[in-house]
Amino acid sequence: MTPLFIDSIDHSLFGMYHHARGTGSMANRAVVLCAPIGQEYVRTYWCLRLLAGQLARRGIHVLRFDYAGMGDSAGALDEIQSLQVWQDNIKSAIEVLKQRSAAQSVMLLGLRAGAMLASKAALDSRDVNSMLLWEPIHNGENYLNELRGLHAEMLDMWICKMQTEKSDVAEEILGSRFAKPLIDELSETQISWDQHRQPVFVMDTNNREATYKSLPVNSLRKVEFTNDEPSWVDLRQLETAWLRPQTTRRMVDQVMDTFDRLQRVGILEPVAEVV
Amino acid sequence: MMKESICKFGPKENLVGILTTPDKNVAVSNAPVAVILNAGIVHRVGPFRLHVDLARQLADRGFSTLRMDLSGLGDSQARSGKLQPNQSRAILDVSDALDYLEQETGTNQFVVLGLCSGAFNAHQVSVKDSRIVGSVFMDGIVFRTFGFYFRWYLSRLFNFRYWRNALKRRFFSQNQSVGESEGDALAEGEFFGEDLDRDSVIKDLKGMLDRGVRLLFLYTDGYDDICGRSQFREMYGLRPDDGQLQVEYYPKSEHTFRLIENRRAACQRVTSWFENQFSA
Repeated sequence: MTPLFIDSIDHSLFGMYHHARGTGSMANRAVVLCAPIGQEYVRTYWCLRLLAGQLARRGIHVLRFDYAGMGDSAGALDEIQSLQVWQDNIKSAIEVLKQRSAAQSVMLLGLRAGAMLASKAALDSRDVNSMLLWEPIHNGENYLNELRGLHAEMLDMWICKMQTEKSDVAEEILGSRFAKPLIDELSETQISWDQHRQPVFVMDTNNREATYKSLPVNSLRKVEFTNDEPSWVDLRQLETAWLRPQTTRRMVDQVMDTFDRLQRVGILEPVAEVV
Repeated sequence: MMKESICKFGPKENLVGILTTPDKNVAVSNAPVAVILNAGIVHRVGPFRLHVDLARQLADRGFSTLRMDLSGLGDSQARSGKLQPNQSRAILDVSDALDYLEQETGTNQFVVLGLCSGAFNAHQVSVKDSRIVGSVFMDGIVFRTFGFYFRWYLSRLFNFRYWRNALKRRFFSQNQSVGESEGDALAEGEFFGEDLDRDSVIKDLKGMLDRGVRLLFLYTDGYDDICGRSQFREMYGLRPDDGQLQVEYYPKSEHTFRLIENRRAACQRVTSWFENQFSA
């Protein structure tokens, strides 16, 4: 693992590059991991580190990174006024991974809000060859309402009466202060399932199966379900690490399978020279 | 401008941390460097990014801070080889961090900070390493006293919200332990020594005070085993003051400073303590 800083427009982002073990014919296989946001970012950090390690052991180049205003990256969360900042962060991460590996395009693997951001970033990027979306947020407004509900429950269970900020400037949700313009934009954001030109694989929990039945049929999209317990709106698990070892292994297999398919149909470019 | 840089240190550079250094114009000369340890299994950014906020606010006041991952946590690799019976992984890791910082910054004075298991590790390190000149323990080692039981039951007895919440947990929740974090239970079981006794902790604290180590204890109501600032004196027989031994109690705060208001207060307390203790 190599820690590094990534220059992304106005911010310096913390990233962790996982070297592929034994490259050769697979040197053009690279994955950028797009983490969730807010408290979910903290809960899933270890899971994404394990996923990255497993992928690297299978010969895949992997880059994890923290969005601007989160984790070790520069800035404060309430300074981020638009989702465009985080989409640009993803694009900067793609550039860095392309330089570090021999890949000319990458796969985006996004979890929760990271999946939504990945899908938006991929819309106007030629550098994304495929996407794997893990328990993706489909609808920003529903997502925010879920988080707000959990936040209200947390305050309700507090030992004394407490209030948090909800103003024209910012809103505090589960320990994170989000700028109002960002909240407004997020509440209007949905995954544009029909606009992707890349293959999209989705892994979600089986309690959300009905959500996908209403989506238009698309030959480039495949959805699978897990028996994993949904824990995102469980106050008891607000500060527990989110670990899904069996599904993580399934995701690794799916990454390998997707790259094999891309290779077979000629979408994956030949190995480029490493600079 | 404040600067953040990546640090790799320890055997085979297996440990990772971020060093935050202040702008040259505000840097306090000859100041100790702060080292923040993991809270439970949360990586170096800390619960709700507490450690990042702390590091950056300390940099604004002129102090450098390393927030690090102990081996096997966050982005640090596990330490290879077996530990000796009297060795502690945390002590070895922090010792490596201090060695590294000595080389990088030229200082040989440090302040360790930690929350929960981080405070326990900070205690262990502060006892053993003479380079530590200050320690900040957030919800660190506590022992229940008679006063604890008295105040705890008294404060809960007439607290409507407490009984309402208890009933909610009992009857309206799918899971009866809502409100109790499994992570906390795991962290205590995994990280805290089982054989800690009060006398040895008192001896440790007196040893640190005799050495001139400045101590700041922050406690929250969300921490199960403490109720009120006065419990500190009941536990250790030591009287907090505004000087070398300072104690703060936050009655409205959760254990991990979940709310921004609580987090802000804790960060301000720590940074002003730093200024008062080490700016001269």
